[in-house]
Amino acid sequence: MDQELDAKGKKEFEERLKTDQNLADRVDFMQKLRKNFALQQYLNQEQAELLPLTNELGEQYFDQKGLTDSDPPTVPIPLIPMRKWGRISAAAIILIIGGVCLYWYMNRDLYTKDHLITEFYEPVLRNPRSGIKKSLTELTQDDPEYLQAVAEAADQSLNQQQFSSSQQMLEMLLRMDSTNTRKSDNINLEAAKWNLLVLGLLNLEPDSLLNQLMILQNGDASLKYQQGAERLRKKMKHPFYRWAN
Amino acid sequence: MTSKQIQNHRYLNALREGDRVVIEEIYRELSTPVSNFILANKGSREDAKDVFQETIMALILKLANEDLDLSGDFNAYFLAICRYKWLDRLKNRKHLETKKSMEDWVTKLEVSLDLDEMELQSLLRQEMEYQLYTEKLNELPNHCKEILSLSLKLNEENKKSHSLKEVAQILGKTYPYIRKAKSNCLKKLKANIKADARFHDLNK
Repeated sequence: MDQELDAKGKKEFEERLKTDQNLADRVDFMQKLRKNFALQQYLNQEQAELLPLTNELGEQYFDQKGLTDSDPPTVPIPLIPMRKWGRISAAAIILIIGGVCLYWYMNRDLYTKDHLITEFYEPVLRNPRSGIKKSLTELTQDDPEYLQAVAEAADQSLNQQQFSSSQQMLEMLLRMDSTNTRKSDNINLEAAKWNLLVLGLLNLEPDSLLNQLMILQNGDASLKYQQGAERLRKKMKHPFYRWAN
Repeated sequence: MTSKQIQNHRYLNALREGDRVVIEEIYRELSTPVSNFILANKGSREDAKDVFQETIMALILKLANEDLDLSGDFNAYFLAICRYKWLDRLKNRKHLETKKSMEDWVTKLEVSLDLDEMELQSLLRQEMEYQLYTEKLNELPNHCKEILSLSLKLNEENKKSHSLKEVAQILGKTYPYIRKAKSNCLKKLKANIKADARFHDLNK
C-alpha cells in the first residue's frame, strides 16, 4: 500500500476494494491510523504551546476565586436544560390547545340552533295515531280533525327540519285554538307555545328570547317547561352557542 | 454572517491559532457555568478545571481534522461537550463506587443531556477514535512504536511517509527484518484496537 499506483492500478485497486472485505478493512485501518497519528503529532505541538496557557487560565478561573468545593454554585443548574423545559412547555401548550380545539370541534354541533330546536322541541300531538284519516290538504277548517292535522303537520315538519313550516303550523294552531271551538284532548297546547318559543331561536333577538325564557322559567308554566327554559337559557349563554352560530 | 456566526468564528479561530486574549474570554465566560454544573453534580472545582481543559483540547482536535461548522451557539456547544464529558467521568466512577445512588445520578443526568446534535456526536466520536488509536499505539513495545512512527511520519522534504527501506536505514536494520516487524506490529495494534470496548462503540 506504500507504493504509488498508476491510474490503471488505482482503478483495479478500487475495484478490488469493493469486493474484498479484508482488503477494505486493512485500508480503512491504515487510513485511520495515519490520520490519528498525524493528529497526535499536531496536538503534541499544539499542546506544547497551549497547555501552559490553559493551565494558567485554569488556575486563574477555577482555583483562585477564593472559593472552595463546598461553596454552593451561584446559579443552580437545572438537571433538565432550559431548552428542554422550553420544548416540554411548548408541547404542553400545543396539547392543551389541541385538546380545546378537539373538544370545541366535537361539541360545537350540540350548540347549533338546529340542534337546540330539535333537542328542545316537544311533540304537540299527544297520540299521533289517534285516527287522523286524512292529510291536512284534504281537510277543511270545518272538519273536526282539522286541528289535529295541523298539529301533526307541525310535528312532522319539525322532524323533517322544516322549521319555518313547523312555526307556521304552530302559529295557526294557536290562532285557531283561541276561538276555543275545536279543542282536542290529543293536542298539547302548552307544548305548542313552548315550541314556538324554541323556534324563536331562528328569528328572535337573543336578548328578547332570553327574556321570554326567563319569564317562562319564573312563571306558572309546568315544571317541565320551567326546567326546559332554564336549560335552554344556559345553552344560549354558553360560549359554544356564539361560536357555533 | 450573523453576529452568532461571527462570534463562533472568532472563538474557533482563537482556538486554532492559540489567541491568548480570546481564549481567556472563553474561560471568563464559561468557567462559571461549567463549574456550577459540575459542583452541582457531584464534582469538584478540580474536576471542572480538567473537564474544561479537555473540552478545549477536543475542540482543537476537531478543528485540526476538519472545519467545525457550528450553526448554533458556541457557548451552548461548549457546555454540551463539558456536560457529556462529565457524564462520562461519572460513569467511570460508577465502577469504583458501588453506591446505587451514583447509578441513579448518572441515569438522571443522562436523561437531561441533549445529545442529538450531529456535530457534537461527530466531535465525540472523533475524539474517541483518536484516543483509541493513539493509546493503543503508545502501548506497543518500543521497537514497534519506533518502526510505526517512522513509517507513518511524513518526511519533511517530500511530505510523504518513509519507505520501509528508509526506515531500515534510519534504524540500522535490514529491510526484511523491518518488513516482518512492521507487519507483526500492525497486526498486534489492530488486534489490540479491536479488543477494546470503544472499537465496538465506534462501529455501532
